[in-house]
Amino acid sequence: MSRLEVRSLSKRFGGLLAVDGVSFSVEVGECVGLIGPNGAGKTTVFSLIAGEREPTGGSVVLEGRSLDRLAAFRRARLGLARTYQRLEVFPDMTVLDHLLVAQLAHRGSTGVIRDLLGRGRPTQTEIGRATDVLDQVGLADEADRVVASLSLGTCRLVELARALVTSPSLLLADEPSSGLDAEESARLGEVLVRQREAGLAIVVVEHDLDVVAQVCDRAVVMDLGRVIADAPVAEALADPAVRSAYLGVAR
Amino acid sequence: MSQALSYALPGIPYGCTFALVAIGLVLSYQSTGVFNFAFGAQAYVAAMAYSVMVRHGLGRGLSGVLAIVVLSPLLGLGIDRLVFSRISPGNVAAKTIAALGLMVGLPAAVTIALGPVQEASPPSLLFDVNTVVLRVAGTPVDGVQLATVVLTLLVVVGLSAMMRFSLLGLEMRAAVESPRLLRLQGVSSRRVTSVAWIVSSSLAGLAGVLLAPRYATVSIDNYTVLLVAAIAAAAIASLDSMGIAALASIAMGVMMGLATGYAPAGSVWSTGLLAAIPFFLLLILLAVNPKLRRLGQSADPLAGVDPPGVPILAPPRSPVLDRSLRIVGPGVLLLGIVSVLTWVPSSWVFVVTAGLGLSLIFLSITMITGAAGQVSLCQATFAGVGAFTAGQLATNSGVPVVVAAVAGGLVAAGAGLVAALPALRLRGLALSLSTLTLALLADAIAFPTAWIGGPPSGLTVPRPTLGPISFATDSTRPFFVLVLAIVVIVGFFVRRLLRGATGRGLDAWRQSPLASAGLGYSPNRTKVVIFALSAGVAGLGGGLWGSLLQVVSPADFTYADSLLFVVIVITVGARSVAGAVEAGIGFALLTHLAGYLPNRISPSSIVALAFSIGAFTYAAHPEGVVEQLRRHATVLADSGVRRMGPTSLEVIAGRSKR
Repeated sequence: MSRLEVRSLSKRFGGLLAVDGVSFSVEVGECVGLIGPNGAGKTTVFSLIAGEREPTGGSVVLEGRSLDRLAAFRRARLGLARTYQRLEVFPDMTVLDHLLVAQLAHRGSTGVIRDLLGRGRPTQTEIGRATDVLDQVGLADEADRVVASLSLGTCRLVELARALVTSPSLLLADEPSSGLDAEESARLGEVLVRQREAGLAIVVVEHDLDVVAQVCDRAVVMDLGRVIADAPVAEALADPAVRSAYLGVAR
Repeated sequence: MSQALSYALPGIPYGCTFALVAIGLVLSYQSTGVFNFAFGAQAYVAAMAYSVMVRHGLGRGLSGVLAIVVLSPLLGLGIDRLVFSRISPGNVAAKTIAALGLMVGLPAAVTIALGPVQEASPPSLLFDVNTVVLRVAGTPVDGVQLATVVLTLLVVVGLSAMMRFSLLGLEMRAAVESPRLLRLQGVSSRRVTSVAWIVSSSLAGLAGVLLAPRYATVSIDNYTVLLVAAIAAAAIASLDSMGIAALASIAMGVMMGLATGYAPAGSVWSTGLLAAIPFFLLLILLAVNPKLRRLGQSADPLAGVDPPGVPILAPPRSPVLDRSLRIVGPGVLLLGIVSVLTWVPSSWVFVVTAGLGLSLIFLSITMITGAAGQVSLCQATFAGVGAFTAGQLATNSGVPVVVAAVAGGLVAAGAGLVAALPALRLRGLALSLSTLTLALLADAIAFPTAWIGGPPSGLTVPRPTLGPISFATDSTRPFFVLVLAIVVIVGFFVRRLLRGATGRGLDAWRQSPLASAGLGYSPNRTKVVIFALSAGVAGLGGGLWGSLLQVVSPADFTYADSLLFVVIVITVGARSVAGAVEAGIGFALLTHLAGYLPNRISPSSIVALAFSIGAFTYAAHPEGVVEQLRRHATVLADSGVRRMGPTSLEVIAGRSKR
């Protein structure tokens, strides 16, 4: 059974068919690069998988369970985590708080009663887990910084750490390396590779093909809402159709 | 047919009165990006000025010109320069709160300037109510009606043309979208925004002066009701088009004219519900129009250039300071309590108890506004629901007062639940609007009903008895202890909520709804629960407050109280339980102290003015005035201690210990 299965997903915005019958699957411990030129529909596919938008057609299956009727927050509780192309951080919170909030969200639905009983605070285990993950992404020194004061690259790492701290089964990373400097980018690659080896299924939207080559097993290439190639990375990048879509060679 | 016409025709000028305000709202929203809650208050200021000048024999024409062409533009310029130009365009919460501050502060300032007297309606600026100018199909049209219609038409056409075709209109729209981009084009966005405020304020002045003769007295309440009705019309136009807003207003006027004509005289329908048509309309529109739900959200591509806001989180204190404060703080508190119980004169004990009772109501604002970042404008209404329930149960059914107060809290929580359901999908401005509408509906329809708000003479809420202990003694001291105990218990649980998963989840949702859902928070459920809980706390507070006063009436829980309460709590500090208690006691003490001022200064107005000025600092200091002072003190004290701050783990350990 695949970790994630996307079956002929489509999304229409008015007259524009932004996603047109996209299908692919991701196995346990596999990292798939979702690549393609700007406007190909990659981020829209992410928002359909995460449940932020309603698809016009098709379905999404996580670990054999259909997600189609579930709201975004329910999908998150089932182990789907993501980062965002346009940053979605909590500017007033510290880095550490981001990770604690994420873990509290995963405790279940009786939050108010638990809080009233005085069990709503992060436990030592949760704090420990948060510090571990911050260590992994290289943010241990920034734990107490308020996120509004951090650079774009650091914020991306915060988002990544926030997504990883709940030990998800599927990670959707939307352009994680944009805005990162070379060192941060390399660390990002390492983190993703380590997570993949630990069994996490990852889908990355990425423009930096070096990062794709470093972390991805397979590439799904999109253009104008369709999948035009689905192959091992080296093969996909060598595909003439892919090259023409990316480099704008006359079709 | 001719009967229908005779009902419908007077509706047109009536609708035009909504139209003038609705156009003003659309104009100021389009040209300044502020949803101007204070538009009614600005109109009121001009109307008051006009009325006073006419009364002093200045002549209608000159008074009108001074009020509309001199005073109103100056007021607009002042509001822009002193308040809104200091708030970054993307900060919707700060803009809303500043507008609310004006809504509270402007009438208070007028009352202070002119003294707490009722101002009878001035004569009309143009023509006269008693001259019939012409007859349409047999229906007489008086001068005021004609003038209203003609001026409304002129204003719609003129302003629409300005916004659409002139360079200034284009610059105004650009200044709302992104003042930075406009500046990069070599245009002073400050000047453009100032002009926009001057124009919209003049329009408010025109509306105020023109509409003043319609009512018996010049009163801010009339302008607020008019404002909300006009908001309904502006909402139909999605705040997009002045023309549609005007047409919608006139349609509403005609509808209400017809309904008045055909409604059986003297029925509930004709006395209360009719005037409430625009309110219901607005509630429905807010629920169904997705455009309105996004009101006020800015999409400035250069917003990221702005420096980061002030962190809400307090700076860490050094361990030495922390330890000493943990001894000094409770010590001072204990000293205060012991003082109240021993030597403080009983009139002051009453004041402190009132403050404590209020702080329960204020806690409900901490929950909804501080934690969830949503400005609810009907918390006093929930307090009223609690007080009236407690009073009815205690006086008519003989239920013990403590039980009745708790029941009041439960009923208020139920009311909160019902109120939260349509508000489920709303946030930001839309939520503030729908709660303000609910408060006005309660004021107009629910509370005046005898089986809810009690007889006109007021509803008795007795002091409670607990077993052998009676709190009905002449001294307020025993009751003080009871209220203190309840505040401590409720505060304890609210604090657990704020610091637990609920508070953090709401905090996350406030800052990024998308990411918080992506982490697994269900915004709707938490929102409904917190809304209902906060209504319940307000209701319990209302019951206690009623029991302290011993007689309550609808006038104790109006929309204006809700506004004032929100402004007070935000000014003092909406993000902590301590802030609510400080706000409650501080407000009660200040109001009592202001009573020692000369007679002509109304104590409640001077306090309202002070707090509304405080609300303007929200943009710079969202944590509140008291917390801000505390931080300054901490920094000073810490520099004495000169130690590095503790690490995150120590901070958390410290937090969980506290």
